[in-house]
Amino acid sequence: MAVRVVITGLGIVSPIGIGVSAFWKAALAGQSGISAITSFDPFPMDGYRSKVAGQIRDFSPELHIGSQQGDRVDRYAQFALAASREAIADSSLRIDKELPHRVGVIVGAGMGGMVMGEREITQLYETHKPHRVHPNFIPTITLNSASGIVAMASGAKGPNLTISTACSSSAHALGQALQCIRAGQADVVITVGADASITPLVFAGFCSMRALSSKFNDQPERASRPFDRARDGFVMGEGAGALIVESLAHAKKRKAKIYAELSGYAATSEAYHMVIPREDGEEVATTMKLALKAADISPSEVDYINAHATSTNIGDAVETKAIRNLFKNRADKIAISATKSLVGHTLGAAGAIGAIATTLAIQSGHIHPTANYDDPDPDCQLNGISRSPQERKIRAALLNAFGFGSNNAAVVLTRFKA
Amino acid sequence: MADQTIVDKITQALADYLKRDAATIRATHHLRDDLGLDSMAVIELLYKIEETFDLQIPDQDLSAMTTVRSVSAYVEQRLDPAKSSPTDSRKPAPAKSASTAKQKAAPAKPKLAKPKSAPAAKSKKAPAKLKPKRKA
Repeated sequence: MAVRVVITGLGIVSPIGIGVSAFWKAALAGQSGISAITSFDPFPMDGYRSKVAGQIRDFSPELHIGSQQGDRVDRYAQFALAASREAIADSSLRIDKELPHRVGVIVGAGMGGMVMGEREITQLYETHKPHRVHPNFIPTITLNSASGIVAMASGAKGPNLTISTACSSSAHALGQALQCIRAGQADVVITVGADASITPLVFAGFCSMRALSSKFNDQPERASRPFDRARDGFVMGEGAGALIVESLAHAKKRKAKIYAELSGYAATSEAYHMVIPREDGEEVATTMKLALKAADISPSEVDYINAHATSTNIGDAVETKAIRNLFKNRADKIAISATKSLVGHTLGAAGAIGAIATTLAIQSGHIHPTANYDDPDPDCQLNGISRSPQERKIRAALLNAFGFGSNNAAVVLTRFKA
Repeated sequence: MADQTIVDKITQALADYLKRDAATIRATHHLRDDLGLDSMAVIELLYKIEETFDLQIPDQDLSAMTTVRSVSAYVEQRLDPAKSSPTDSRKPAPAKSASTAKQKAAPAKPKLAKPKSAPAAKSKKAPAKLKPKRKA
C-alpha cells in the first residue's frame, strides 16, 4: 500500500483575505475580492478591454513577512513567503528540530517575477542603458525565486522545485509533493502556489487573447461568474496558497493536527491546443478518472468538486460536460463550487488556493458559495452548484486545474480516518 | 578628506539598503566585515551609487572599494579627478581613463561582464554569511 500523506498546515494570501481565517470567513460569506484597476501607473486604463482584477490591496511585506527578505524578491515570492510562513506556523512544524534534508519545498508559479521583469525590460528599451538593469533582475525573474526564498526563510534543505504549467501549476505542485513523499525523498513538503502578475504587459496579453471579462468593468464584483449564463471571460487575480504536505507517519510522530488526506493525483496532456480544451470534455473526464483511480476512490464516494471553473465560456461548459460524463447520474448529487468566483483566477496560485478551500470544506463540512451564479447556463447545469454556502459531510473531493499548453491536473483529497 | 556630501549620500544609500540608522555607519566600516554585505549586496550598492552620482563603475575598479571611505574617495575622484587625494583610491587616474576609453569604444562589453564576474565568483559562500543578519 502506498505511503499515506496528509495535510497538516495551511496559509494564504488572497484578494478576500490574508490569512486562512479571514479568507475562509469571506469565502463562506460569498464575498467577492474583485475590484476595479484604477491605473497601471503611469498607464491609464483606457486602452484595456478589461479593467477589473482580484487585487490584494492590504499586503505589507514588513508586516506579513517581517524581515528584510521581502525586499529582495518580487511580489509573487513575497506572497509565497507570507503564505508558507503561516502554513508552517499552523502545522507547528519546527524545521530546526527536523532533519532539514527531509523537508522539501515545491512551488507552482505560472508567470513569476513579472513586476520587476516588466519594469527592467521597459527601462532598458527606453534608455538603452544595459548597465542600469538591476543586479537582482535575473535571480528575481527566474521562476524558482519563490521556492528558493521559501527554503532560505524556513531552513528546508530537501528537494526544492518549481513547477510551471500555467494555471495548473500548483495543483501539480501538490501532486508532485505527494509523489515526492511516496518516493521517499522527503517527510514533509512545503507546497506553495503563487502568482502576482497583474502588470501592464501581462494584463494586456490576456486582454489581447480576449480571455478576460470585459462586460462588468463597472461592476467588478459581478465579473467573475463561473457557470453563469452571462459569464464572458476570466478575471485575473493574484495571491498565494501554501499547504504543509506530510507523510502520515511523520505527522503522527510529531502529533500534528491533520486537516485531510492527500490521496491521489493525475497529470495528463490533452495534446490538443495551446489554450482551448477539447470540447467533448473527454480529456478532463479522463484526468479526474485517473486521479480517483490513483487514490483508490470510486466515483460514488466523491461528494465535492472544487472546479477549475474560470468563468470562460468554453472552459466551464467543457468541465460540466466532463463531470456529467464521468459521474453520470451522480453528477447532480455532488456539491460543486468555483473558488475563482470569489478571488478571480490567480493563475499559478489557483490550485493551491482551491486546495485550501477543499481542505477546509472537508474539515468543516461547509462549502463556500459560487458567487454570481445568478442565471445557470444550460450548458453548465449541475444541481450541486449554489450561490449559497452548502453543508455536506465530504468523504472524498476532487480538485481540478487545467492549464494553457493543453495541461490537466486533478487531485483527490479525502476526509482523514485514522 | 572625502567630500562630506558624497560620504553622506553613500552612507544614506547603505543605511537604506541595510535598514539601519545612518548615524551608526562609519567611514571606516568595512563593507563585508563590518556591515555584512555579501558580494551581491556590494554590487547592488554600487548600482545604487552609479545612479546617485550618474557614474559607470568599470569592473576593474571594484576591488579597491572595500570600506565606506574607499567608496567615497573613489566616487569623489571620479566626479572631480583634479581634486582627488591619492591616499584612499589606489588607482584613480588609470582606472578612469581606461574605463572611459573602453566605454566609448565598446559600450556593451564592460557592462555585460560586470554582473557575471563579481557575484558569480563569490556568491556560493557569501550569502550564507549574511543570512543570519538578514533574518534578525
